[in-house]
Amino acid sequence: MKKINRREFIEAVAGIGAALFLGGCGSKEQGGAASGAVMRKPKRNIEGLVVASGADPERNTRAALDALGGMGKLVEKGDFVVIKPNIAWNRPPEAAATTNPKVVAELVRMCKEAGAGRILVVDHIIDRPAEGVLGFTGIKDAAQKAGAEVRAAQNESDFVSVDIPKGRILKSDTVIRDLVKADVFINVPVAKTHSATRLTLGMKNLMGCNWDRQAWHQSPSLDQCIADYVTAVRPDLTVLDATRILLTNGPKGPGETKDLGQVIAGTDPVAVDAYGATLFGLKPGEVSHIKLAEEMGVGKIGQRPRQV
Amino acid sequence: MQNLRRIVQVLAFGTYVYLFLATVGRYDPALKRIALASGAPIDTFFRIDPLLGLAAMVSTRRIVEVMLLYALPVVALTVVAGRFFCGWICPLGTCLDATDVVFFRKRKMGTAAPKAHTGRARNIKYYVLIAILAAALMSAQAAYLLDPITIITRALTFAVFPMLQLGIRASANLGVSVSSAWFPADVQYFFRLNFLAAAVFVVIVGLNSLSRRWWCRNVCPLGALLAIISKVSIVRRQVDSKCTKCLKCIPDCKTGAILDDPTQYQATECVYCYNCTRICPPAAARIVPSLRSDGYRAKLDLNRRRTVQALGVGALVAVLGKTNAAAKTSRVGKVKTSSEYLIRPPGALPEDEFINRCIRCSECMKVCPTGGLQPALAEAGFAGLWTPVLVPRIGECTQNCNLCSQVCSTGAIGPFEISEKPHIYIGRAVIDRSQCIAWNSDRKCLVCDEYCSYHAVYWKEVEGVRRPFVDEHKCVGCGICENACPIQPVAAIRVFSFGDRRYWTREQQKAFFEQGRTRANPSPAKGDRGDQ
Repeated sequence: MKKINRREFIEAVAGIGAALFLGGCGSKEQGGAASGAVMRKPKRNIEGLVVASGADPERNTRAALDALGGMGKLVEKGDFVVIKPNIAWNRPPEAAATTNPKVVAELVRMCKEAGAGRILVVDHIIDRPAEGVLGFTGIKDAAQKAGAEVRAAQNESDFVSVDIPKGRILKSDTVIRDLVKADVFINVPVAKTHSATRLTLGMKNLMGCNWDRQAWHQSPSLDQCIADYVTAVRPDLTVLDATRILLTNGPKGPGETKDLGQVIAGTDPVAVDAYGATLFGLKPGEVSHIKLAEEMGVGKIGQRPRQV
Repeated sequence: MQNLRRIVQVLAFGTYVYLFLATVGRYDPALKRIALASGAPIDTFFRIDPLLGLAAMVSTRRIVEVMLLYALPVVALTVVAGRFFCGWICPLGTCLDATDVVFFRKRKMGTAAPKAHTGRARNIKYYVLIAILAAALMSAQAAYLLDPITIITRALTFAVFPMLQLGIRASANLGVSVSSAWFPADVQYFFRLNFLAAAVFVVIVGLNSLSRRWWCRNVCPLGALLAIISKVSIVRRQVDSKCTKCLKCIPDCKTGAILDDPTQYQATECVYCYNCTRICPPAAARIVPSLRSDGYRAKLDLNRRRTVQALGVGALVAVLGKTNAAAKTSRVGKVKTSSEYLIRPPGALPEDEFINRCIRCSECMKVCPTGGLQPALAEAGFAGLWTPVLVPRIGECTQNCNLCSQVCSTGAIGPFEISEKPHIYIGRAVIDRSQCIAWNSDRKCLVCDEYCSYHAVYWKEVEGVRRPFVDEHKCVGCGICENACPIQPVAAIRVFSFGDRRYWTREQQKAFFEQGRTRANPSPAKGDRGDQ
């Protein structure tokens, strides 16, 4: 056996050191550290609350947006648009546990028509593997065909911290990095029952923009966390998919569903959710997080929607 | 021929690495579920390994068709062409050749000083093989401990793959995107026992410092089995009268097969590397199809006493396994009492047969899309080392997946359809009310209920607060609740093995499931709607 000389020894040590260093880069997830990123002010080019009914979810989506003044008013040429559907669960679209892919795709097409530069469909997916969920829910296929990038934010490094100055429980929390850079942020929830919060509509869907959901459940009030979060992470537009709603065993199902054939669009997250609650026969005030959000000045319960 | 051998080695090793990397799930839009990333038989190298097939079949007294089918050609070729598998195909052998060049013998072939042959330890491998077969006869699978294909695969799965993945994810942070379907981006793999898997591999590489392919010469039980099969091989080394007895061939013989008289060689040691024909200065040595027996030695000089000792050790290992605490069962003999965390992947055979069939190849753990399948530590006792157990805190058994059963060569994890998963009971979740924040501090936390894929966790209003319960007929023990529970590090809802129903047939399990649907249901339906 040949003796190793000093030079070779140093080379070997340096090589191993470099490998360990590179490995170490991955072990510490970057992200959370960059604290205090600022969400840009929501655009207020459009205003209102619209309910579009009909058998075709794509037509409903377009009709609702047109009634609000058209996507062209919200999205300007070259804008970076982030669309956040509910893609939490590994369920087929017909189970109504995830947003209808047709609604998402139609929104993507409308943003494209309005001249958006880059459109990203993103969610922090719960079931694993995320790639499988993106496929099974039909959202990846539909949104990509319509011209969007589709991504799952599954690593802590995909998130940055934001301050929540108005928060009562949450003083800061994390948000998907791309949202901070977005020019337009569209929230596209599906209407479902929810075991812990009774319903999951628009504001509850924003929980999927944050990295650590479990912390909210552990906090003294999940509902307050939801309301706190929306004061800082406020979508420019909420498009509530009520094409088919999940009545039992929410949020994941499988459960009883009901075909409503509605798409609700609005700029006020509270107004959209308040209307959404009535679809389940509830008064908006009976869903704590909606009431709390109104108290905190996020929006108004009880606005009358325009029907189209 | 030497160059051809090198090319084949590179190709075989490349194929092995490709199959290893392709042992990963990918969403298949046509099937609407995750499927293997490659249509090739992922476990080819385990199927063609006759030792694994033999040990699994003898210990369980059952024919494993797929292993028989793939291993028989190797056996047939070995009868004809000797231990070519060791020299040309075996991925561990190729690894040893490569690491040998890098770490131990940085010199040109044929430049070593001539020296006399040594090879006293070479019989160890036969005794190892005898012990393994003796254990198998006593219904205990022990091949996995020293089988070369499983050793290298465990090192790759448990130690190398997670490191590569970490590196690739780190590179993404640095802005260099090397994303690949082979390295899942959303789940970082962590394995228990990665140090041990790496250590075994490193020790085997390190043994090369004693002599080239020290492991293959002296310990490898697969090499021993192939050597025995190859005794009458008709591809033989011949040295003609041009031999000057320069002894240059001896130090470069990978396995020390050439005897002190270089015209003689021990055929059962030869791995057909063709080094000797290449460096022989007068080109006196050739390896050709032949029946000439001068210079050909194939007699195994086994010591009778050692052979008996090996038989004894094998039997003892088997009996020790059967008297280990892990073998103890519940009073009615259904459930192992060794550990409440003995959660096997769905489709796994009943425990005793599972242990004997499982060759510890680690493929199921490599392919598990959540990383929840982990090598057993003590859950299954010593005899269950390296076998897969589900550790829900690391990863759940995700609903839309049956990849582990697809990659299992021996059928230890039997095939099952995803549609059967609601009634394949691998364990059951239990809520610890003293830990659960919905029970002990009235929090709005029903994460377990939310995440449950089978609607086995449900809630009832107790003292004005919604609190979680588990339905025994619906809970299969997938562990997604334990994985998601916000209580750290020990979850307030945990999966225990008492719900394991492997001792039932699939029909019985299905009947139990149906029973839960038809009986008066204490759970959901009422009180579960948002509008109440």
